[in-house]
Amino acid sequence: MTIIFIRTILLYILIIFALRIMGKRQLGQLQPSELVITILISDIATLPIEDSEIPLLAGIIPILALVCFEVIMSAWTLKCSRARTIISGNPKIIIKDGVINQQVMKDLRFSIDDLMEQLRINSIFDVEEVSFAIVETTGSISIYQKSEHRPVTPSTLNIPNDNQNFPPAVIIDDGTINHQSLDLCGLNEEWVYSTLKKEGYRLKDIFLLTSDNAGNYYIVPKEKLKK
Amino acid sequence: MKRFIIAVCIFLLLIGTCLFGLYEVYNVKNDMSASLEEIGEQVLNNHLEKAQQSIENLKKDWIGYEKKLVQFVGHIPLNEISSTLEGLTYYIQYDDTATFFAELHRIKSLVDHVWYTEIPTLTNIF
Repeated sequence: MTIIFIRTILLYILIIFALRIMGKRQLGQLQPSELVITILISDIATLPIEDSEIPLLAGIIPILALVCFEVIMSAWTLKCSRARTIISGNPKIIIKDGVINQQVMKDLRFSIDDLMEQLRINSIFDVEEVSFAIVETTGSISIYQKSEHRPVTPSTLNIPNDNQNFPPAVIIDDGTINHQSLDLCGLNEEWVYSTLKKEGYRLKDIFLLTSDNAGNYYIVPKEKLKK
Repeated sequence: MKRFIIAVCIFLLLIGTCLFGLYEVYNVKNDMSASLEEIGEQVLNNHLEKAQQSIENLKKDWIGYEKKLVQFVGHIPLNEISSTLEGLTYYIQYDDTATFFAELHRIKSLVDHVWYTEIPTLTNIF
């Protein structure tokens, strides 16, 4: 039992390390090869955990081999577009000027239901509103609407904007100052403490404090939670 | 680029580990085969005390070999070799030569089996 416990911890650390080497992607954005690797890793990892007769290396070696091979292949496909096409395929235009390309739908085995679902997820309920819809290599659909259906922006109405191109960053997270965010916003600890003093809080009272580079902040104090 | 270099280094390390494992299994196979051969000769020539001493030495050596092999090879054949080795002395002690030789060859075939299942031949891969 102890062996199973220790192997589980070791393999958990290994998988985290392996996923860090593979890089950051959300599950829905994985290329087919990356999805296969992720599924394989989870299956391979269980083998030495379930059966202590199998050496631990029988789990470690295949996991690391798959991850390293995936990274090497990714680096290669980055440089070689032909390899990228072979391994990941190409994006396909499924709607052009409001007209559905039925041949592409057949090739991709995409049903009308699949297509309409993807459109609705992108807040589009009428195919005629779509100028271009492209099925990406991950299977998701990217949509470019016709100009008359696109959301209005300040530039469309010639409204001068406030040049607020900096999103708020988390400055205090559960009583701890995030110095990286402070530097990003061009602020310092003095500003944090003076702001807290002005609002009548102490650092440990703060659940969340966000701010942008103009010093516009938002505070969420800690609640008294039931134990 | 950093990830790529790390991946290549780990890949080479994995290849090195696999080759090292093969090297260890090969050495153990050769050492065990030589020892088993010698023990068989000693029993055939009726040098029973010498044979018993050789078996005891082999058991001690096997403890070390097993510790190495357990990291690279499935444990089931190793456990079988361990349990069969334990019984060898008693077959000589109680004059059961037929069973002794059967068990001796069983150990030899298990050791060969461990080696042959580790080498990357087409049969093993597919």
